[in-house]
Amino acid sequence: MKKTAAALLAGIMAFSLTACGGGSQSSGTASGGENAAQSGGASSAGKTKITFINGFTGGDGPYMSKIVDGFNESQDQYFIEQLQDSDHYTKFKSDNFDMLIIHADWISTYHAMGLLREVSDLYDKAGLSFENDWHPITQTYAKYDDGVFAFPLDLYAETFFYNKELTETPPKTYEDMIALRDKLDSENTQVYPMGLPLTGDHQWAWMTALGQSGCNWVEGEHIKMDTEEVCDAFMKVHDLIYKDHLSAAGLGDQDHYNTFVNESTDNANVKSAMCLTGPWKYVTAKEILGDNLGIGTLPQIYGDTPCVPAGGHTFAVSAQVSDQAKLDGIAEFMKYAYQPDVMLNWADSGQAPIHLATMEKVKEQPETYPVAAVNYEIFDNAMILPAIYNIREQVKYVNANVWSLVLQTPDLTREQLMEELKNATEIAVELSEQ
Amino acid sequence: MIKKKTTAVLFVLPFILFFLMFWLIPFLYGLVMSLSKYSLVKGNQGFVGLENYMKVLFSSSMYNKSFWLGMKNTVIFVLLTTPFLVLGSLALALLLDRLPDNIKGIFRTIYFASYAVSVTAVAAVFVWLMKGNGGYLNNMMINMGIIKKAIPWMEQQPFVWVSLTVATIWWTIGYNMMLFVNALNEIDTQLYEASSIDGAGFGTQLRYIIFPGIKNVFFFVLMTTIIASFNVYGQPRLMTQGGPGETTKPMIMMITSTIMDRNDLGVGSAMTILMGIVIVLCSIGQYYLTKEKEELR
Repeated sequence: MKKTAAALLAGIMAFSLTACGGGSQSSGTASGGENAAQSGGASSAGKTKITFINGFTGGDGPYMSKIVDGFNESQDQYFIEQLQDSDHYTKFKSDNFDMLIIHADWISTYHAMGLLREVSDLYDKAGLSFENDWHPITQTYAKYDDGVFAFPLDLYAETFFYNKELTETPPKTYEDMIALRDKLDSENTQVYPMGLPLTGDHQWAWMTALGQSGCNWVEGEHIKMDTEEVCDAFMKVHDLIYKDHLSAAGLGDQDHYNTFVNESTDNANVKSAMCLTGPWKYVTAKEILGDNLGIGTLPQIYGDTPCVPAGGHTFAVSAQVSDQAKLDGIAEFMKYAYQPDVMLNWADSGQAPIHLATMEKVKEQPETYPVAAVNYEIFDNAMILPAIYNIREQVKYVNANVWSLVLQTPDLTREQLMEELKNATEIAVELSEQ
Repeated sequence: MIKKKTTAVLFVLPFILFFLMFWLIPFLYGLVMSLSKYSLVKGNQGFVGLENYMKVLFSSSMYNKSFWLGMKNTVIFVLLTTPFLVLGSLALALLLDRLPDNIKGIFRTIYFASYAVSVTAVAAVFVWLMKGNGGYLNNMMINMGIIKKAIPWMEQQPFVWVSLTVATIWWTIGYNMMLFVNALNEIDTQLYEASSIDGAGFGTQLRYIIFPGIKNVFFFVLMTTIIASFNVYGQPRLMTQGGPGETTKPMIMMITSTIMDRNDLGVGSAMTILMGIVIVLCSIGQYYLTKEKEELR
C-alpha cells in the first residue's frame, strides 16, 4: 500500500516537473510569482542567451511572446529568455537582465541613472534607421545628446470613446458638451457628458487641461506648476465639474470608465456619455456597449491647442551588456521584430506600433485595428511626459494632492490651488536635484 | 553534562542563526545604511553621519514633510482602530462567553473566520461595498430611501477613514477576540457564582473578577494591536492608494515610496529606524504603565 502511494506521488511529481520545465510550448510557464510568466519556445541549447524582462502581464503579454517565440524558432545562434512580470522595473534594477521594455516617460530617468546602453550601433547592425523608420515623436523621448537609448515599440494616446445611444455625434468643443449636458438633463437624470475620476487616467486628465490650454509647465529639469496659466487650467477643470456640471462631482477610482460602461437603469449611479481613457479599454467597452461604442478624436475641452496625452513602450538594453555575442543577438532580434509582418502581432494586441512601415500596414486595415487607426490620426498632437530626470516622481504630487484638491473642493479658491501648485513645484525641484 | 549542554546548544542554534540572519544583521545593515548616502541604483556613496536623520526630522525637504505626514496618518489610524480592536474584541469575547455551549463554537468560528482572509480579498470586498458611485452600501441606502445622494466612503475624508477603520476591524477583530476568549476561560467559574450570590451584577464582576483575571492578556492585546496598527500598509495601499491626496498614506507607504520610487535607501532606512524607535517608546511606556499598576496593587 505504502509503495503504491509512493509510486503514485512520484508519478504526480514527475508529471508536474515535466509540465513546468518542458520546453515544447511557446509561453505561459509560471515563474517568479503569480504575476510572472516566462516564455521559452525553442531550445536554448548551445545558443547565446539574452534575458529580456517586460511588464506585459495583461492581455498584450501573449502577443509579445509570439514575437519572441517567433524569433527563437527562427534562430540557431541566439535565444531570448523572456520574463513577464508586473514588477519588472524593480527586478530590472535589482537583477541582471540584458534587455527590457521601458515606458517612454521612464527613459529620461533610466538614462540619467546610467542604466541604459546607447544603441546606435545596434540600429546600424540591424539595418534600421532611428531617424527614418519611426514616427518623429520618438525623437522627443528616445534620443539624447549622447545618442539613442531605445527602440520605440508603440504609442498609446488618450482615446475618446462615446456612447452613440446617448450622443449620436461626438462633441468637439466645450460648447458641444454643454449642449449635450442640457440634452441629457444631467442634474436630474444623473447622466453626464463625461466623468472626471479621483484616480485612474487622472494624470492624462490634467495633462489634457494643461496641454489644450497651451501651458508651458516645464522649466529646465523640473516641472513648474506655480504659474497663473497652470492655475487657470486647473480652475477650468474645477469649473467643468462645479460650475458647468459636465461631470458629476465626487467620482472615485476609474469612475470615468465605470460610469461610461455603467448598465444600471436606476438613478442611484452616475452615468456618462463619453470617456477619455487608454486604448486598452476598447475591448471591454466594446463587449459592453457593442455597436453603441463610438471612437473619435479628443474634443477641445479646455482650449484651442490640440494636445493628446500619450505614452509609449520601447525596447532598451541594459548598460551592463558588453558581451559582443549578446549585442549581436539583440541587433538580430530588432531586425526580426521590426519586419512589418512580425510587428503586426503587436498591433493585434490592440497597441499602435510606431514603426512607420508597420503603421502603413495597420492604416490599410482600419476595421481590423480600429483603435490604432484612430490613434494614428492624433500622433502628431501627442504629448508625452517631458523627458526630464525623475519625471514620474515629479508629477506624483500633482496626481495625488493637486488633483484631489481640484476635484473635491466645491469652493476652491485660486489661493488654495496656488499653494498646492507651489508645493508641487518645490518637490519637483528637489527631485530634479537628486 | 557536556552532552546535555551540546544538545541544548543544538536546540537553540537554529533560532540564533535565524535571529542573526533575519533580524540582527539586517537591522545593523539598516542602521549603517541610515548613516550613509545610499541610492537604490548607485549603491553606497559614503558615510554621512546623522544627515539623513536631520533631513527627515528638521529640514524643509520633501522627506521631512513625508515623514511627519506619514506619522500623522499612522497615529490617526492607530487612534481610530485600537479602541475598537481591543474593547470591541473584549465585548465580543464576553458575548461569546455568555452564549450556550452548543452554539459557542459556531459564533467563535464566524467571528474568527474573517482573520483567515487575505488583505487583498478584504480590500477588494470593501471597495466593492463602500465605493461612492455604484457601491453596494450606497445603492442599498439610496434604494431604501435612507440617503438621497451617494456618500463618498472611498473618495473623501472623513469617510475614507471610516471605511479603512471598518475594514480593519472586520478583518482583525477575530484574532484579539480569540485571545480574550482563552483568557476568560481561565477564570474560575466559582468566582462568578460566589459573587452572584453576594449580589454582584455584571459591572461589578467585570471590574473585580473579569478584568483582573484577563489583565495580562488585555495589555498584551493592547500592545500588539498598537504595534500592528503602526505597521498598517495593506488596507490603505489596496483600498485607497493612500488617497484622497495623501491623507491615508501611512508611514510604511512613505518609507516604501522613499526607497522604491525616490531610490533613497539612506533616508528610507533613517525613517524606518525612527519609526521603530516610536514603536519601542510606545511599548516601553505601556510596559511601565502596567508595571506601575501592578506595584500599586
